[in-house]
Amino acid sequence: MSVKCALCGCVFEPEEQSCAVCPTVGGCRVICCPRCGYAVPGESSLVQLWRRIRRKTNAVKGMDSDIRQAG
Amino acid sequence: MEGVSRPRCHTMKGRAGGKTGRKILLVGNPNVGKSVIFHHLTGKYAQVSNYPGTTVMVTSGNASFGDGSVVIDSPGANSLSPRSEDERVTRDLLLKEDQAVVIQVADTKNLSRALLLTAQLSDAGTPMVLALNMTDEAELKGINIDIQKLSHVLRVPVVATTATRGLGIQELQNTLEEARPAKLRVRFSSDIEHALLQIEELIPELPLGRRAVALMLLCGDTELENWLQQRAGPQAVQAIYSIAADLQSRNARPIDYLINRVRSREVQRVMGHVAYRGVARSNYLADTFGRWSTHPLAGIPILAFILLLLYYVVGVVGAGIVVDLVESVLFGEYIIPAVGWLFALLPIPLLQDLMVGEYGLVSVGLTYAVAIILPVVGFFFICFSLLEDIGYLPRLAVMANVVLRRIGLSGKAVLPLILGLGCDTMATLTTRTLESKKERLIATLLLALAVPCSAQMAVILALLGGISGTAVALFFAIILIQLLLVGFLASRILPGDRPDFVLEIPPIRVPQLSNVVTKTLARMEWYFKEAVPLFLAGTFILFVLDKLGALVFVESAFTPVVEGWLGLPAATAAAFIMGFLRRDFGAAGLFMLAEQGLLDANQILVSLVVITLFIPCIANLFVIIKERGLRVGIAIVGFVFPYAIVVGGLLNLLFRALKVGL
Repeated sequence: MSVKCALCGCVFEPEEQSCAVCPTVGGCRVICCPRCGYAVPGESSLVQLWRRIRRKTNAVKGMDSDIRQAG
Repeated sequence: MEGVSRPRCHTMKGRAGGKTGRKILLVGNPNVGKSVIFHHLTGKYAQVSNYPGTTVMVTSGNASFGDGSVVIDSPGANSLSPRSEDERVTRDLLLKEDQAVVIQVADTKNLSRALLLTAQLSDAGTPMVLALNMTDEAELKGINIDIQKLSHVLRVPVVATTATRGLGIQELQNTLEEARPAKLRVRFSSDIEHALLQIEELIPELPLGRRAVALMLLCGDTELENWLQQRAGPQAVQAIYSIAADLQSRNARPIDYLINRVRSREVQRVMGHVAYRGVARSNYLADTFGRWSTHPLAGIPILAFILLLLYYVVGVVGAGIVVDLVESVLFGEYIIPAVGWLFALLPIPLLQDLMVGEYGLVSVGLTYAVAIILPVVGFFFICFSLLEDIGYLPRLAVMANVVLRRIGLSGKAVLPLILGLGCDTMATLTTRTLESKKERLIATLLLALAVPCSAQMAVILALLGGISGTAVALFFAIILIQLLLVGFLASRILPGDRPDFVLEIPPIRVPQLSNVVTKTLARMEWYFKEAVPLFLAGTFILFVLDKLGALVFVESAFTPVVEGWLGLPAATAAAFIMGFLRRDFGAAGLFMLAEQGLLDANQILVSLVVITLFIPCIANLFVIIKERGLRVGIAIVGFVFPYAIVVGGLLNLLFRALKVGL
């Protein structure tokens, strides 16, 4: 998923970060703009959890409707 | 860069001899979406490496459409006559990858800038396809481009793309087979054309068109000298330079200026044929706010209003109401007594002390992190995410640039200072992108000295929230004066140039609640994970120092400075030590002292000024040493530490002399 830097407007993929030059430990979950360095934390685990729950709920709903249609 | 001759007129079908092993080079101005197109063309698997001999990152990857092509994402370039390392790498890639087909990615909103590069690619004779990216944003601005006409004028395939949504990518892939050299040949004045012909005769068969290389040489590209010496010999190089010097002597203006002026005219002529102004879908209020917020005069009251709003939300609501609730009620009445009761069951007083004593992990470390800082920082992050989503931060950078130019600082150096409002450590890292050593040094120094990070800023606002709006204004005025004064002196002392500053300004928009919530949550979670372990570690160090009697020794050693010169209680020394570990930790220590009634309003302001100007936190110091070297690190600490004490002391003396009470 592309990220748009809030400071310089650069659109980039999170994989493009230059983490190799950063002295902080890996897996810091901060996304740094490759152009200006503006840092934004990665998605919160609470939000990720919420998304997972929604996906599962939608999948279950989809299965229910499939079953109803098949019935 | 071997001297492989290139057929002068060809399509990809005709020249590549089949698809396998084909190289596709993405070229374009900075920030036009090349990287997003790269990811569409390659999937997720990319190799990122430094271009040899530079710190510039070049990304390459296998094409996802499975024909064995390799896609290379070149750094953003406005010209093939390089003025920066990024542009030099792009030029070198074009010279080296002589069998490559180029996809020039253009920002449709700024097509004339892209066509200046197209003109140079045309001189180079590189087979290319033009991708008009960000067409959706252009439409919103009422900019319409007649793609068929543009393709006809340039004689290359032109494809409209919106890379962020993957639109036009398939068509782009399909048209690669039709890539051919663009026909945007610019005719210069007769003396320039004559000089070009003379130079073209002196240079050997090249991967790029001779005219392109001759133009680069006339534009003063000295970095081609070694490369040319190997291929044409020193005599030819000497002759080329004398032709260029002779041409310059016959023209009052620089040759590169004259060349670019003619190119611009040609581009404008093309634009007149292909670009049409439609109706922009804009918002009058948002546009007006956006314009005013970058204005050197109107922008200041807007900034002051935003700071005032921050002060009320963070200082009054966050610190005054929420902190009071969490700290006094939740921690004071429930958590600390419960932990105290739990550890009272253990017959080890030291362990009780470690948990809920004067420097206890729960009573100090956890309380500072969770009860004081987290609510305050949470409110600050809500405001910060709002400002970010509105699009205010780039405007703040533009306005800061206007102000900082007047003291001799300018250009990209403004960006790290704005980034420092988030995290000084990360911002110090980004100073490596600055072009001159002078800029890198000044930006590093100013970040270490006078730019409070987001967490520290939140606690500062919380502390000042208990005093008055005047205290907030006074604090920011003092810090700003220090920043401008030190920046001015440093720019006069350190030699070097002032590069230009180019920043794309996004439109002002209504913030989206979901964006603000997700960003705030992400920031709070990140902060919690990063700060709590450090707060606990810091508290443990203070606990050990206290038990060894070292803390009393440090406090008494600093008493003449802290009590005598700064007019603060001796206990403030511990907060300053905490500040070295994390600046917000130190500020939280001051918050607790103020809550206990040990600091009056004047003392709060003095201590906040000192801790803001004080030596950078340990993480920032490590990064300064890593990026600028040990000597610069020691020099910065050697300057910042006494400077903070001197400014704090002078403020204290001023308050006493004027008998001012905040």
